[in-house]
Amino acid sequence: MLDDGLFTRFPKPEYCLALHCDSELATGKVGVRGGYALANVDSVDITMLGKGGHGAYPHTTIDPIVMAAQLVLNLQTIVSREIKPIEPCVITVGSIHGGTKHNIIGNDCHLQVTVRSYTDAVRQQLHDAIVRRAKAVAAGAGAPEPKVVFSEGTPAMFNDEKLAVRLREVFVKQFGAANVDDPEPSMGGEDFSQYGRAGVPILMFRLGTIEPARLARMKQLGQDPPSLHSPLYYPDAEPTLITGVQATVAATLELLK
Amino acid sequence: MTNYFRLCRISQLVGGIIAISLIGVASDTRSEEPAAWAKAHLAEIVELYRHFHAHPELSFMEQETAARLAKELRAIGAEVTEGVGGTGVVGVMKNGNGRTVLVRTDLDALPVTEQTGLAYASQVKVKADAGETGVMHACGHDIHITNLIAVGRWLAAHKDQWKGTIVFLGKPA
Repeated sequence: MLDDGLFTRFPKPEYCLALHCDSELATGKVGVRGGYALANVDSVDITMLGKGGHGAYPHTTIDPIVMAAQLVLNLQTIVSREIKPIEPCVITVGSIHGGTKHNIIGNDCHLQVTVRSYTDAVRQQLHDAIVRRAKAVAAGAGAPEPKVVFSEGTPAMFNDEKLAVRLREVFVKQFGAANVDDPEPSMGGEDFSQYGRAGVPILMFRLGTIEPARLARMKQLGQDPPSLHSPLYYPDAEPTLITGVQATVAATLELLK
Repeated sequence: MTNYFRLCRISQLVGGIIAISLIGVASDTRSEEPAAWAKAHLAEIVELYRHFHAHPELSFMEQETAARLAKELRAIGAEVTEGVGGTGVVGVMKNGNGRTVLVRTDLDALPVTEQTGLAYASQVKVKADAGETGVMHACGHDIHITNLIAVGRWLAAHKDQWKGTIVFLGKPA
């Protein structure tokens, strides 16, 4: 949006406000956190390139699915073995696709990966390690070099600290201190972060979406509440929206002062 | 003496009536407060939410979602521009001199097949690498969009309580 002139074609704001559903927070509650709240997000598309042929004659091929399988587990040790343990980061292979039929060794296998970090240094470390490991797996199989493409590149979301303090007070007045959460930093990502990087103080607060009774029931059953992106996640719309409207209006009116 | 007492009585009564009407006025103002207003308009707000929930669209393909947001923002008197940054929507509501605040929602849904069993669950499917996948607002963006519209409606109906400019933003992806 910034590239399409959001801050030039339209009145440039002094503050940017947003909220996000929280899948573990009870309805009637909000969460505010200053500083790093969400992570850098990088998307990586890795294509392992092999040499296709008959499934019963593997010696005449270079199997891209075996290479991809090796790479999937290999990538996990970047975080567990190469990065300092107190630096939060995540590498997840979200999708893997290759081949067409039981008895054919295909030509390639494609992985879609998401990479999360907070600092630029760790982000670069992860980037370099992913490329190195993908190349190493391919070299091990005598295969051509894989294609590794980085995209997305959303920066970590930094909630303006002054704004966080100010809006926390507003929310405490609206909902009571017990209903204003101080959430942990998360490895989720939000391109809302870009407005902050463009020089406008931003704040994204969290909105509780699960009724307390439902949360209690899940706890009793020893179940974790379904997270965002789960096919089972749903907010309890009515109380969520009432609190959402109350919080957003209160925050907006405060920022207009 | 009795006249004096009668006067006192009448003053008390008048005073009482004034007090009660002031409370009545105060209650009216309180009922316009956002939470009470939202409760009073809950049926429409939830209907809007269920509509978005049942009609999710993937990143950069949020044509219908964006069009509906644009329509709702126009209906509350915002000056709306569509097609910003792809399918993005910007609505500007001016209300005298003052600060400018931007309030943002995201528009996109995810390639996830809904398993909630809700009556208004998404039935939308799209082609994907592995054949087909459902589409679902599994990240709550439908709540964000509905919230933005409801907040816009409150601000539009209570212009006497704020001044400045609000930029409503519906962002793709």
